Amino acid sequence: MAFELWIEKYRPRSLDDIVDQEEVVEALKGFVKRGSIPHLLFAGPAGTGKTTTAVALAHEFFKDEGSFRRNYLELNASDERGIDTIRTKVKDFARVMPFGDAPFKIIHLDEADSMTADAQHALRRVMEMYSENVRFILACNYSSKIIEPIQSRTAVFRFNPIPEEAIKERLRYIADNEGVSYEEEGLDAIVYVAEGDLRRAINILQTASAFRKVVDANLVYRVAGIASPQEVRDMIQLALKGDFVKARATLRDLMISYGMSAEDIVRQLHREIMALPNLSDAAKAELAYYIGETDFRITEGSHGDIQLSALLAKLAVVGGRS
Amino acid sequence: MSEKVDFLPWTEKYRPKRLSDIVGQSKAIEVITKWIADVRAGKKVKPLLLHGPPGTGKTSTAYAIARELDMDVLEINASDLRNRERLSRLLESLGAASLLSGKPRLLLFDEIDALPGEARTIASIVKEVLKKSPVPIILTANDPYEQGMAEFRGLATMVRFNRLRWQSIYRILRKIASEEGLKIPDEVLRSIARNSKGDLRAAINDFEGLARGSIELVSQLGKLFGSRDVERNIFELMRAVFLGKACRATSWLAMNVDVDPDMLIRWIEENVPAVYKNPKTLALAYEHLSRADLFLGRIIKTQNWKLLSYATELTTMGVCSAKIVTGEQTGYAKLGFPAWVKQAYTTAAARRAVREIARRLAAHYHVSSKVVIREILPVIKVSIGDKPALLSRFASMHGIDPESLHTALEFIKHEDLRRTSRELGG
Repeated sequence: MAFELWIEKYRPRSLDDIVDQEEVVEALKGFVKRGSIPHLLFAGPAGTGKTTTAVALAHEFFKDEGSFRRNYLELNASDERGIDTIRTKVKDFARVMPFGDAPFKIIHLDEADSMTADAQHALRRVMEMYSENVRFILACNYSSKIIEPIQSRTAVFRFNPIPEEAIKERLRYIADNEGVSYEEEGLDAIVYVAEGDLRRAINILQTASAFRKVVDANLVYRVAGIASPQEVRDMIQLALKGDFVKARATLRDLMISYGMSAEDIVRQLHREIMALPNLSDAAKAELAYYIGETDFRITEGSHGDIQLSALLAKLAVVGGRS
Repeated sequence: MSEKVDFLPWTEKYRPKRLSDIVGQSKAIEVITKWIADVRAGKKVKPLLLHGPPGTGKTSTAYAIARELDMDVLEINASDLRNRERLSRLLESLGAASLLSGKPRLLLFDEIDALPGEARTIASIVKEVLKKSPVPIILTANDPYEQGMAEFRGLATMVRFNRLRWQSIYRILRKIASEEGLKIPDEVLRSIARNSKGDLRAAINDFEGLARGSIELVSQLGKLFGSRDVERNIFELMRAVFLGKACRATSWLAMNVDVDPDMLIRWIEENVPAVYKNPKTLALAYEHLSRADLFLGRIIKTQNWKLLSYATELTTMGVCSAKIVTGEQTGYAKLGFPAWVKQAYTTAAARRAVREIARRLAAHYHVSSKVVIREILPVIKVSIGDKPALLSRFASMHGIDPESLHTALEFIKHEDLRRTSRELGG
């Protein structure tokens, strides 16, 4: 049997199948009934169904697969090389009239909030230029990172984190269907580490079950997350102890060999440092500023590892004081 | 984002236009030239099946042939195959001249082995066309000996494309460099050429990435800093920064050392902890490097190279002055080559495989490449990483080279996965 990802296998296909975002789905069905949609902005955390909803919505208008393929375009802002590429792709797609009897085409631009404000302004112009033929669905984690002019031209839908119970129910359904045995604590652990992200939860379940027939909490904690928190913790301890060279070597290993991004690491660093038992609140407050500043500089700067090394050097100073 | 017109990727910009521009495939060109003569003479010809590794010029050759014959190319792609109605319309119009240019047309099926599910459909279309109208047909494939391809081998004239020799690739890179007005040391170009393993497209992509200032620039250039003068200069500069008190002069010195700004910050950053032992000096020096890097980031985003002098000053004068602020006495230390650069260089191929695969799968699974790397590759790795049959089936389903999928999965280390599989013996 061919290998299949469960996130695909169990992805809801139609609006009716989407269970956890009732309000959004109801409103969207209203649009479908009227036969048209405005530009849409889907805001919400990862793994709450934004993409699934966009695809399902498109299927409501483009009934057969051929029509869907020709009338629906998905782009990911964080993967495209900039607004120029997006503009070119949008233009190429929008230039041709909707295929068949489709009323319009749909372009789904994911992670729109990863675009700079300038790029978003350019995007706004593109949206207006082609609005006759094309409806845009923009998806983002934070609607506040989307510029006002775009927000005001779109109908904004908020996707709530999926309740823990609902995630667990879904996991249980998949596990039963796939013949995976589990302990209750195992599912609880997945729900805990997934933080409301259903996609991540399902991926963890599939990874864990590939290891062992019975999914228990211990196993889940081990397979969750790309970096083992232990490595990040080791790095922090090394820096606090003043062994900067080793801490930096660990950092480089995480980034180059483990392929972690600087953004991922700074997030983990933050979580771990705030949880340190033997660090005063005053020191934590000071570090919160440095971590936040590092987070900002990673996006602004050119070498994320240098920004993180600078943070490790600061940790050494703070660690030496306490 | 700059609004430059020059947005074509170099692989497009420098794509060979004529058969005579195709490099390193003389045998193939011989066969093709004869085929072209036959088409011109109005003879009935078998389709051409151009096959060989990626980046050896198959698609470019197909278009060059069309140009040679003064024909337009009608390329049938995957989505056309799925839409029977459109497909049959396309095929019916085939005999007629192109509406746009008035030229006769040639039929191209690119990468037929990328869609193993469609192989039979393609074969039946080819046969149908052969029966009906005398339209020249060209097929391309990476590996015509895979299963499902047998039918084509009987149907078509096989033309093999070989991996290019690195010397040929090197010559092309040098030509591009001169047309782009770039002064790049020969060793750099040679190294890219050798690294590409005969894949010209990969070489040009690497080169473009390098020239446009990506991470690979750092890695590739770094490796090649064997160029003696530069190395001597950089060590001199580092000694001035780490040992001297004339900090302002170090920034002038830096402007005179012909070293790439990315490399300069790498060299200094590598050696800061070797020299500065006081944590306060270290943190202060790093604060300057961090700010320097902010400017480097802004330069890349805005292409405003005037900002470079600030980055250079912070990297040299800033780091130098840290020891003066804290009063740390510095002495002899062993200065080394930037380890980051070395590490990034040795893993460049694997990381490229990861990125390319991530991009492919991202579109399929409706997620970003990031999510593929973080969540999906691990699932694939533990589920089928050690099952070659399933793995290659998965690869061909997604049009991925099984070999590079294997490389990518090997490369994504996952401490938890490794530890878990060690402990569980699975």
